[in-house]
Amino acid sequence: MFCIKVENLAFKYGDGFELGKLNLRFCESEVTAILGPNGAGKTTFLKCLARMLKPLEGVVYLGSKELWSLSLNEVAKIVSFSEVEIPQGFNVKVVDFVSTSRYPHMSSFWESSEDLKAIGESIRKLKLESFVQRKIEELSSGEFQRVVLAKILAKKPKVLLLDEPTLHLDIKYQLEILKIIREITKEEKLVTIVTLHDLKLASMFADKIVLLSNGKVVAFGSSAEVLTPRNIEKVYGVKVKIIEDEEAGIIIAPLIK
Amino acid sequence: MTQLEQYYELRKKKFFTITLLLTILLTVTLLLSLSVGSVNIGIDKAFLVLTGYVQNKTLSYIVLNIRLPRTLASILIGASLAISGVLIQNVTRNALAEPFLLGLSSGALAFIALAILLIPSIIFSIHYVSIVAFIGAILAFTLTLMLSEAVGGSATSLILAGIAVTSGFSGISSFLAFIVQAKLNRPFLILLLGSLAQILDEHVIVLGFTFTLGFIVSLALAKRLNAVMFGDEHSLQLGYNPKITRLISSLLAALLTSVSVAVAGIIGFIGLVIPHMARLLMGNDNRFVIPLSALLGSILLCLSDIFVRIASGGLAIGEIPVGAVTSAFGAPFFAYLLMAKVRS
Repeated sequence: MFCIKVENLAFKYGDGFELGKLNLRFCESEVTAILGPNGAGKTTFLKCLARMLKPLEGVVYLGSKELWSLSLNEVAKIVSFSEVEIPQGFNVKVVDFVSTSRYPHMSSFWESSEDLKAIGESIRKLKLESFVQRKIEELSSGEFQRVVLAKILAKKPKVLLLDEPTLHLDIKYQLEILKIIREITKEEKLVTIVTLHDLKLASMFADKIVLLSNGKVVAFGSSAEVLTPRNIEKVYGVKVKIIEDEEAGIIIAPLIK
Repeated sequence: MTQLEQYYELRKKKFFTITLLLTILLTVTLLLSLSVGSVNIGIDKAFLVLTGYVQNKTLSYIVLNIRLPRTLASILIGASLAISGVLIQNVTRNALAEPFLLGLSSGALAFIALAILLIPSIIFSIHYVSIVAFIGAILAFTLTLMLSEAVGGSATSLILAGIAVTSGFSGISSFLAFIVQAKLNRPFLILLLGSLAQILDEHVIVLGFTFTLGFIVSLALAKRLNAVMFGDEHSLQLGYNPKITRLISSLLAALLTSVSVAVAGIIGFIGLVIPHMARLLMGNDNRFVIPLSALLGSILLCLSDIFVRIASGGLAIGEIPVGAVTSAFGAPFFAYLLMAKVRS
């Protein structure tokens, strides 16, 4: 079974923010949600896994291999991260953007038929067939998140790192995108790690939850284990009541004094 | 065949068709350029002289020794400046960027003028002049980037920083150029607005060499440029170190610009207008944008130079600077892009 193992990982920014030490394990076919208040270190942690930030201490294992012993290109073939900035004024088409994701696999100048197959599949999976010729700058937030997801899947990665895939989406698209992420994780046996803000959504779609606060892991486990009134109060400073419902799962209701 | 494969096939066909058409257009422009001047030679005759079928001493001298170097220089400079624009727009992720607007051209010319004042004999070596220009272009680009970072690093601050640096170096180079012209008694001020009036064979060789190098390396960088266009982190995800992409592209853009400036002075806006035209034709993929920009840039500058010669001949007032022509149509285009940006 393919797993990512994080051992004693620590990172420090120039401004003094510290992450760690973290000891975690993420395995294939599992969606793990990283939760925590703003500034808890969620994105920093993802970037450490994506080989974008070099940890101060500790080791990350991708399967049996150490992350930093692999080249940039080798990691790029396996790991897909969702961070993107769309340039203004370049008239980028959806299909051109999605196809960049194949570059780590391409040794030739043009896309091979295998590359085109992977691009086509991910476009179909996210139902973007009618979008391929649209300009990225003109998409709505919901459409854009789907395009980003299509892009990172076109790579055929083993690891999906998603930074706030539900940002700026309304409830319908939040549910839709998380459903797709979950399905793909199971189908393709991916290791999926997403940062989220919404506790309820995390409880619905994640197999495991990591609760981060000030760069440290407060709790790691199933949503029932992690999302307790005690943990939530400790991390967010808000008292909540957790109600179990047959249809809706758990409901996390804040208590306002 | 899937829909996507069809699309890719069609796109390649479209690219090759456009490339073919532009190549034909370039050939016609080249012949037209050989036929236009104080002595009018028909296009057909120019072709025959060029290919060696007509051997007339006077005609051969005019076409091959006077007009051909100038025409080739306009083609190579147009292509070089267009590719320089593509590189700079991609690495700064700014569709309004180009070598002239970001100060590279003025920096190069200011350094050339300074070097000539210090060591006048340098003016006779295009190689030394190019090296000095290269240093000036890199210095100016670095200054623009630093100034832009210092005021927030946004797309607009980059353009404003570029205008500040361009103004500074333009002032210096105008001042120095005036002294150079007076002291050395050579036409030098005309380089401030770009001119193709003093082209020598060795200029064409240097231009040909740098353009070939620039074209091959930027094509090899095309995918890296596509990656860095969506930000450093996107580039890293695709396995390319964005710093390396940016360093090589910036050096290459500076080289292409500085050799052009060393030969013909400041010719603005080619680097801005042409990449946009190429993207309009084929989208943003640099594997298409780079070759198309080279073709479009060479056609445009060659046409501008033909216009210069016709207009100058007609007005009988000496030669109009070619940079004035490119600015005249480039500046409104810049204004249009600026408005489109403000609206979005």
